[in-house]
Amino acid sequence: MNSKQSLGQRLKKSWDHGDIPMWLMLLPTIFFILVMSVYPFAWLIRYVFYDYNGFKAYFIGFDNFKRMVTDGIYWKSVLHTFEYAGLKLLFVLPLSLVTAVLLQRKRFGSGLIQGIYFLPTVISSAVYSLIWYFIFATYNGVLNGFLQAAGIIKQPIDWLGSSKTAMIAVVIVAVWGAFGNYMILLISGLTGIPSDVYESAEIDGANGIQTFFKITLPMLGPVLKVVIMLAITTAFKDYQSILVLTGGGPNNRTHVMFSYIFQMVFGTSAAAAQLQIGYGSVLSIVSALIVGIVTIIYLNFSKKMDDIS
Amino acid sequence: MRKSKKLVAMGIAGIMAVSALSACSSGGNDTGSTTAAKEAETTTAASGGETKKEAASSGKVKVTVWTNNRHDLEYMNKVVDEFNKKNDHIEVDYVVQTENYENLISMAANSGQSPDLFSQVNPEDFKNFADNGIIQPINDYMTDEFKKVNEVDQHLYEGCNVFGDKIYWVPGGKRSGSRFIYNKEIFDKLGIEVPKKLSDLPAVAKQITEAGAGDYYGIIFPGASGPFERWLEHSAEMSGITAYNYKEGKYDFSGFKPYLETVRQMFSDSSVFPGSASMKIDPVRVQFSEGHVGIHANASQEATVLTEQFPAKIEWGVAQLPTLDGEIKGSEACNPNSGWMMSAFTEHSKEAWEVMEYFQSEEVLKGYLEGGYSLPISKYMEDKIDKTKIGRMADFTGADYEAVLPVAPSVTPEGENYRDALWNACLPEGAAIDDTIAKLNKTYNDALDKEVKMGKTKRLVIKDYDPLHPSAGTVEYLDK
Repeated sequence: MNSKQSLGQRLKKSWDHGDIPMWLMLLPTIFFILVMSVYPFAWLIRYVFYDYNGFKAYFIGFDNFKRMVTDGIYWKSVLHTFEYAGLKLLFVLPLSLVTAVLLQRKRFGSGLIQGIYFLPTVISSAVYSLIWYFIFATYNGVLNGFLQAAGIIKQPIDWLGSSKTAMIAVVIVAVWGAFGNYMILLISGLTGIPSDVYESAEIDGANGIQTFFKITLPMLGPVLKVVIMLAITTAFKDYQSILVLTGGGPNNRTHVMFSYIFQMVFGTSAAAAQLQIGYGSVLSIVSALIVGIVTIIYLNFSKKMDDIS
Repeated sequence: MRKSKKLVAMGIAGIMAVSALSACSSGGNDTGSTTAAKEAETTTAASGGETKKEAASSGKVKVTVWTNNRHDLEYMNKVVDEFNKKNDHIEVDYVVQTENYENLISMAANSGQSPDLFSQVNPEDFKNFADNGIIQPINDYMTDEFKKVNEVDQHLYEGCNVFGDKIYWVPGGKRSGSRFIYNKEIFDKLGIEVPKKLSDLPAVAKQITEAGAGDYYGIIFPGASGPFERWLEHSAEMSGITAYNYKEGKYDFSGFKPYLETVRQMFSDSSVFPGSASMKIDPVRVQFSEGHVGIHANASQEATVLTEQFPAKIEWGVAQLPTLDGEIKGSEACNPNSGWMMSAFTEHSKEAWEVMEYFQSEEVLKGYLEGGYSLPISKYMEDKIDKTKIGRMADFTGADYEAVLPVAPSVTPEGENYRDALWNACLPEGAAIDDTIAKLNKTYNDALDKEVKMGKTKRLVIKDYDPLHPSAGTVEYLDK
């Protein structure tokens, strides 16, 4: 029957089914994904076998791969990425969950506080990192001044200049910059939980903690899964604020994978070194694989969350 | 109803696509165009580079000039306005591009939108620009007057502004080598002098720090803004030590060891301003101008910085850098600047040359140098300017131990850049000094061997190299 339909009829059917409008509406997005993501990635892959400084490409075979295997700074930056992401997630997820639960109910001022917590999300990370750079200053810095006045420390801490504290400092900024965003996402998840479930729990005599762990958390599962995935991928890809705060220093202590790659491909303002686009491409692909593997592992672990609700 | 909803949705999608595309096409060139010609430029920008150059008002040829210098903008705007008023057939469009300058030029050249003239780039990119045909030699354009004012024949630096007999740009001025900039009030109060020997520096820094009792410290480094090349490398040059051994044609970083040890010593004495390891250059300047530091170091740009950008609240002096044994055994590198390069793609080379000639004429250079935007490089201009007008820039002039060093072969080592690595070894928690130097010697020389073999660079050998007269030796470029 279908094969006997004219082209016009088939088109009309597709139109009525919504197939053609769907593709037409997807077209701009597909176009931009191809131009902005697929093409640059293909461009990048071209150079993995080359020594390329942006002007002339010299074929060097597998030298870039050999170098990657023995590049101590890169592999340390991979470890730093896990350290940074682990610390960031450790603090940002509980903090955003707790603030979401506290602020989801309409109380006096809760909207204002939500707005304040969300504010870093709409500010450029380069801008707020610069503000933090001054907060962390060793000489007459706000944070050191506060800690000294409170009697917590005697000598000012060189937050960004010491290998012992630089990573903690960049994690503080990362947590501050991200938790408001996840808080808003979790609040939207919380508002989707029907109130009669809470009412039943109340009738059954459940206290606040029991309600949180037995009702709120399980029913937030699907949203929490997405939020955690977003948090993981973002944490592994963060580098902008690190470049502003420490530039990967001191002594490469805060270099994460993408800050190292950025400096390789785009250079640093301080050192007039040749760009290493070919080698940077190899590192980008390996780093993308690492982030991809972490995400897949997480998705496998988190499958259970879907079963709830 | 359903259909109309779909149509509305499609309409919105269409509008989004069109607006996104139009945003892409118009967002490219948001620059600091400063002349009246900007209006003419923006009205034609959408139709592409082809028509851009024909579009100047009143039938004049438009010459587009890019610069990465912001500090002289006020003066250069006046120069450009004056030129546009006086000249009947050229209109200059002067544009400041400060971010990613070299990348922007190469991208513009690759996409057929290169400016006709642009301010000179560093030796690294100069080689790339010349090798890849982005710039063209100006030998055939230079007039006798231009040669006289700029003393062209005395300022030919292989790998810096010339390759062989091809002259690509001519410096109109120079940036001095680095100096110690010290807080005179602290030094006078303590009755001490700026050390001439490197080994005396830790004791002086310690004495200042102890006297400061937390209010001021001995020395400061911009740990996040190229601290090693700020003065340590220049002090080594004055002691006859360079990263590249010109006589043997290989890299050798072992001479820097005493410098790294000295800085480590000052860190362990707590004589370094707290937070130096992560400080950028501007916060360093602020702390110095506020009087919280005994010694800061930088080149001649500090003259305007400490008088205009961050006016110093203290009396400050300028002194020569210390050397290893107190004697000067090598030339300190200074940088030729204030020159212009001509694009190889310009369709108006004759007009572009006219603009370049005007920018480097006696009249324009006089105002430029007297304004303190650069130091004179030619004796001719040095004699022409009124030195009483150059302010604190005068403190950075007259160093007879400065010279332009031969450009060492540029290589890409499999590891850290030597300046980053050597600075990291200066830090108290940094890598071991000997290991760092051994590693750099290996990575740089391996890279040099490899890149010479690949034909990417050539080995520079100056067998009769004299550190005190770096330009006097016999230069050889080897393929092995």
